[in-house]
Amino acid sequence: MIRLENIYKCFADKDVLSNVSMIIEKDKVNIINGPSGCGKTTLLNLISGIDTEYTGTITGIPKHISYLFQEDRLLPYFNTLDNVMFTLPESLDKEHKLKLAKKYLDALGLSNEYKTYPRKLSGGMARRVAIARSLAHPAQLLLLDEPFNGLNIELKHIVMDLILSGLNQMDQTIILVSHDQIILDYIKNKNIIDINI
Amino acid sequence: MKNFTTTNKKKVFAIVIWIGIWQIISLIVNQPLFLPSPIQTIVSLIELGKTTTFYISVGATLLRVLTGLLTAIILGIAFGLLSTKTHALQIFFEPVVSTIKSIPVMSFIILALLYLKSSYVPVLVCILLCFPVIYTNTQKGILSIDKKLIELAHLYKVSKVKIFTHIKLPAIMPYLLSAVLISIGFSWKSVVTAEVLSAPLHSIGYNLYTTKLYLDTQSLFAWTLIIVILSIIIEKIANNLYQNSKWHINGDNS
Repeated sequence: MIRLENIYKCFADKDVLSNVSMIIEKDKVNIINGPSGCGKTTLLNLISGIDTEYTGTITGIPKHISYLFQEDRLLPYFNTLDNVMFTLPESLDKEHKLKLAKKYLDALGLSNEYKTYPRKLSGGMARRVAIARSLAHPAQLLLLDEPFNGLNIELKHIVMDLILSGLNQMDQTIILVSHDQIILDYIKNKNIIDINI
Repeated sequence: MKNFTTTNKKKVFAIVIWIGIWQIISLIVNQPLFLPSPIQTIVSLIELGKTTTFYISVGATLLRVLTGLLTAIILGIAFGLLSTKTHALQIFFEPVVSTIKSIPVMSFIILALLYLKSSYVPVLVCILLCFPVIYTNTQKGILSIDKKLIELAHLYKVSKVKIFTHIKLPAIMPYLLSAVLISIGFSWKSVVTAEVLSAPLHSIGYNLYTTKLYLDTQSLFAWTLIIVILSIIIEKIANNLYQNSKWHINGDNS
């Protein structure tokens, strides 16, 4: 269980998060809900440890975190397969990394794009590579910021099923930021957390 | 492939046109002392090629150019990287780099002649001229690194070596290559200029100096042609190395 207590975060005198407290439950999809600009991405940045400038306490953060950012953040000089393998733990041997990367790329319909460079991918394909990278990483905590942007309904379901299989098989804690109501309705085991400033 | 061939044909055609213009002007002037024709220049080059002095001079100058250029590249990258570590270091190096940039080549040469053997002067001048270009571009390359990719790598605990080879180096490489290409031209000009003044026995510059003494304009053109050809060859090699390296995003690799 991850606990956030009395979190305050401001950017240039503007409060982004003000006295936010919440409990992130294990074995559930924790959905962060709130209007646009309410600080959902900021919250994920604080939980992931990318942003350390805040007041309040965050406890229970596991060691291995995977984060699907709102932007794809793909390495421009490396192909799809290398991009997914780049963030996999160094402790895994190359063959294992290759197997993991291919598993998720195949599941997301990118089996013909292993050698494709990011600039040759469409927006939707690049998003899928970023999703494959975040799901392939064996993490205890998975942070997903608008994962379904640019995907069709069929792919959205595939992605959600992959996320849920990670929840069941890897004993993950999942935090999801999404406005996609159809997908949110699709998730059975969820914990909806509202942020309102 | 078709476009590639067409572009090359156009380039060859342009060169032929300019050589034609050169030939016509030299015929109008009709004074080889002032303007030798392309044919006279080639004949002079063939004559020079028959002597061993020619090869020794070209080899010695080439060695100076490569030594100066490589030293400037190593120092430029090292200090460029160092200067981006802290703002204080950047401020500390800046006056020196700005001064080197603005000092005329002649001042360097005359000063270096006081301290060094004549054969080393061109190398030092080459280093001083190329260093600021490499230094500045290394800095620009480092500043162009995508911070969000570094953030991603840190989150996933990617090793420092991998961060360098996968994120930093590819971002720096295009800037570095353009600096190296500019420096190749600089290095030839600076080495030969310094050789003319310092006159080491085996050098293209010394041979250029003797063409002035004997008013041998044909040989002057022949030596100059050699400098241009060698400079272009080195530039092409550097460019090909980069194009075939993994750091270059090739339009066809998909």
